[in-house]
This record gives sequence, structure tokens and C-alpha cells, in this order.
Amino acid sequence: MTIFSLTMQQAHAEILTNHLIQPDGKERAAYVLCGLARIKNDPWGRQAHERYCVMDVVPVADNDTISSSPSHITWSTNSFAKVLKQAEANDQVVGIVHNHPEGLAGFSSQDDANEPDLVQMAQNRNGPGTRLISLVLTPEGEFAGRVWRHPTAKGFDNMDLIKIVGNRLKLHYPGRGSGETIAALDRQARAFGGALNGDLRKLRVGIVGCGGTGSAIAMLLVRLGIGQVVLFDNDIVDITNLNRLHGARQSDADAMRPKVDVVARAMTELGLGVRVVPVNAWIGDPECRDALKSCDVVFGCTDDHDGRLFLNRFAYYYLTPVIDIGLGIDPGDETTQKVRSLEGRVTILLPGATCLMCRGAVSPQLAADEAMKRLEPAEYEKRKAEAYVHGTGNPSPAVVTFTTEVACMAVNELVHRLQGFRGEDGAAANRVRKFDLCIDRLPGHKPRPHCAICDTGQDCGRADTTPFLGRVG
Amino acid sequence: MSFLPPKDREYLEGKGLNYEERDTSGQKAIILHDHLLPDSKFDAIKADVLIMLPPGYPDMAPDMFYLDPWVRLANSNRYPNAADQRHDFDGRNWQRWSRHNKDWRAGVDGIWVMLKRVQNALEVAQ
Repeated sequence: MTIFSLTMQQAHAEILTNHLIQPDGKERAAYVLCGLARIKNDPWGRQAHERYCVMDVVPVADNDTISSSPSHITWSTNSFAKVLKQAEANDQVVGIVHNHPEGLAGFSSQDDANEPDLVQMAQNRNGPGTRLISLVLTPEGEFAGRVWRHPTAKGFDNMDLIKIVGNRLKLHYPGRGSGETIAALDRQARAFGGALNGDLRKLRVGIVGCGGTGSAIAMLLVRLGIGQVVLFDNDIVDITNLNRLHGARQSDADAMRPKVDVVARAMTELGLGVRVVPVNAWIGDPECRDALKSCDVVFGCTDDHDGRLFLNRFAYYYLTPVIDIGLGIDPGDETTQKVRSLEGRVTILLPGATCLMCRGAVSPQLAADEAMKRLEPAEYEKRKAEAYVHGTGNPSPAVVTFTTEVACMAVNELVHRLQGFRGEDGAAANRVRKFDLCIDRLPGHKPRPHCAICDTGQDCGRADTTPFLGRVG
Repeated sequence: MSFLPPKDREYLEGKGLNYEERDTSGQKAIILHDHLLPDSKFDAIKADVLIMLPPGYPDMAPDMFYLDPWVRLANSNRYPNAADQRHDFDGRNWQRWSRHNKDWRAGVDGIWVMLKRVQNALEVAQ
């Protein structure tokens, strides 16, 4: 059994909505061109998952439309042949999108009758096995979708989830808003409504780095009612972690337990229904890929530059919001007892937002040094002796109240993007909290011209490609 | 399977360069075969050029480059400055050219920029 889902940037959803829903109330059509992420085995459902990521939207022009009314549309297939050709050249999958002005939030019998012909045409042109995606949009902005595999009446599977990602994170799935809230989450439903609880239960969340901030986020997510979590970290609990690692005990340090196992234990002991997959590996390792690709949202709580660079690319290639967290404590001069700076940063990585490299929040040079240390320890020592690498200094200062507060900032950003409690302009792509001054700042950075990650947009939604994420790896 | 970013592949193929991708125990590199050296500058006409690619390339910059055979300056019969250390890769002993890359634009630059750096370093070598 394979499940199917689709992710689209909010900007693309707006182009579609503006084209499809017009004052004349007629049906209209458009195409989407998608990258594909193939997941062999998602870590919770233990089944294959095909995740389509929209790269481009191509509206069907009114002069290509043969006839249309509020209940039907017929358009010339010339434009379909054109997008099929484009998809073949760029290794993409085509989707057709139309609207149902009269509100039907699913496919009509007319759609069922017409679409197999388009599937046949797609397979004739681009080869057997070619998929065709079909999406419908209601006047309320609700999407439903399916994936055709054969040009026969039952040759499709319904989409399990359609996500619109941007300043808001909107989930479309069958039965949204109709689920029961469990008693433990009742007070939260009283604040934010029941739909949020359903969305949180549906979400699959990755936490990369299970230190002070990662473990705090993990515990917050359980109490929010998140349904599925995967933890990535390749480190073990050390006694110096016990001041801030939620769920860790002295005995974990003594037994040299992996952080992911300790945090997974603490999460599941709460008994709130979360399923947790611990992955004891560095995030860039190939064994993490299926689990990472399965995530709807990722919290980047790693303190290594190499891991950050990796997630920076991942967010844009797979249209998966990465909420990157940094904590900076500069203790300043020992004698004055006044810290020089004390701040937490929460940055959202996603098409439309500036990437970490362009914000100067990650150092490719330090990342290269870390990678060399990890992969070629002998060469690293040699270069260090020649003063060609920046030796890693003392352990960074860390205080549980600040690691936990920056975790709250990050999780609240997710809750807002799902639920909207901060209002229209409440999303912050980059928030810096000065703990010593008790203020938040929202520093803006523009993409550097031609940045292949966040400026040109060329690989946004590319999903699977060789090499993975377009990096040597 | 190629590990080079598509743009690098397109560039190298577009230029018709004789290159090879090498992956030995996780260390990845490209070798340009029979690269022509600047005229009369060295005691060889051509050499293989090795460029090691760090795992986060092209976000991370390629750093030094390496030649095989080792070359000396034709006019002084000595190794160029900072080009007298050996580097073992793929069973070969390479001449390391310690030329560092401070100007790499992460996420923007690619192999075309590195090849210009190599060419420039060879031309100004002394």
C-alpha cells in the first residue's frame, strides 16, 4: 500500500486560486509541474509514500478554453501536450487542477469519466507508468486531490494530505475538523478550536538535534498532541548535558545512552499517544533520508554548521518548512559579570524566505572543517597542525531557561502558522529574542543575488534528484 | 552514479573536458586528465589536476588543488611556493598546491569558478 500527498508553496496556491476563482463563477483549469519524493518506508506507517512537490503553475489560458460554465469546462489538449513535454524534459509529474464553483469538495462523476482519457494521453506520450495528478479547488479554497496510475475507472488513489506551505501552513485532508479531541487536550481546544488538535495529530514532525532545545521541543510537541515525531541525533548523553536535557538522568550519562533513545523514552512515558522514531545518526547520513523526507515540518536544533547547511538545502528542495534554532551566549569579560550578548534565534527556511547562508547564520567554512573532522580525522589533524582549520574551541555556554524559551518561540511559530492566533501578519521568518534586554527583533535579510537555494528558486520542489539535494554528499 | 551537481556536469561536458569523477572510501573528487599547463612555465607540458570536493560542495568551497606528475618551475627548477607537500589519493602521490579560497560564493559558485582559480594559480606561480 502506497500513500500519496502533495505540497505546494502558498505563492503557487495564490496564483492558482486567483486564476481559477473569478467573478464570472465559471470553471477554469491549470496545470502544475511537480517534483517527486519517493519514500520506500515511512517510519510510522511502515509503508511507501509518494510526496509530490509543486515546482510550477501553468494556467490554461481563456483562449485555450473551448467551453466553460459554473459546472463544466472543456479545453484544448494542445496545452496538455506542451506541459507533458516540459515535464518529460525536466523529470517532473504533471497535475491538472480545476475548480468546482458550486462547492463540491471532491471529484464529480464527470471528472471520473474524463480523467482516464488524459491519463491515457500522458502515458502514450511520456511512457507507461506515467502518473497524472488531479486537484480540485472549491470556492472556499479547499483542495482535494488524487493520483492516477492507470487509465481505468478505478486507476487512482486519493491524496492522503495536501499541504500549502508559506506564512501559513494549511492542511487539507479528508475529515479535517471532524475528529474528537481527547480529554487531555480539551483545554487547548478551548483556546484554539478542535481543528488545530486534529492538524497536530496528523502532522509528522522531525527534530534534528536532541540537545537542550531539541529535547524541550520534543516535550512541548507531545503535550500539544503531535501524532508522529522522528528524532535525529548521533550523540550520547553526557553529564554536562544534564543541566538542560529534558528527560535525561545521571544514569543515562553513566550508561552512555544515545540522546534520541532518552528523549523518545521521556516523550512516550507521558502517554499522550505520540509515536516516536529515534534515529541515532548524523542527519546527512543516507539512513536518515526516508524518515526526513516523511516529515511535514522539521525543527533544526543542531549546533553543527554542517547539519545546518544540509537542512538549509533540504527545506527548499522538498518544500518542507525547517524551523532553525540558534542560541548565542557570549559571556564577555569574566571580571565584569555582565554578558556581552544573550540571544535566541528562530528562523524559518522555506521557499519565499531567505536561506541561512544568505542570512549569514551558518558558516560554510566551519561546516567544511566539521565535515573533515567527521570523515577524515587524520587529514583534519594534519591541517590543524598547519593552522588551516579553525580548531573547535571550548564548549558553548548553555542555560536551561534560555534553551527552553527559544524552544517555545519555535513551537509557537508553528502553532501560529497552523492556527493563525497572531493574525494576518503574525508570521516571522526570523525572530531574535534578546534575553538580557527582554525584547524581540525581526532582522530581515535579502537573498544574495543568484543564490541557488533561495534567490533563483530553480530547485524549489525538485525533491528527489541526483546527487541528493544537489550536493556532493 | 554521478555525484556532481547538474550545473557542474553541464559545464564540464559543455567544455568537452576530459574529466573523471572519483569516489574513494567516501572522499569525492574530480580529476581533469592531461590538463595543458601554461606555455613553457613548468618542466611539463601537461598534468592531471585533482580537485577534492568537500561533502557540502557547492555550499562549501573546494580548497586546494593537486597535480600529478609533480611539476617544477622551468626557469628555476624548483617547486613553486607552497606546492611541495604530498597528498595521497586514489593510489597516487599528488603535488599539493596550497591555494586557499576566501572568495567562494556559497550556493552561487561552481566548478567553473574553481577551474579559473586553478588556471590563475598556475599562471602566476613562482
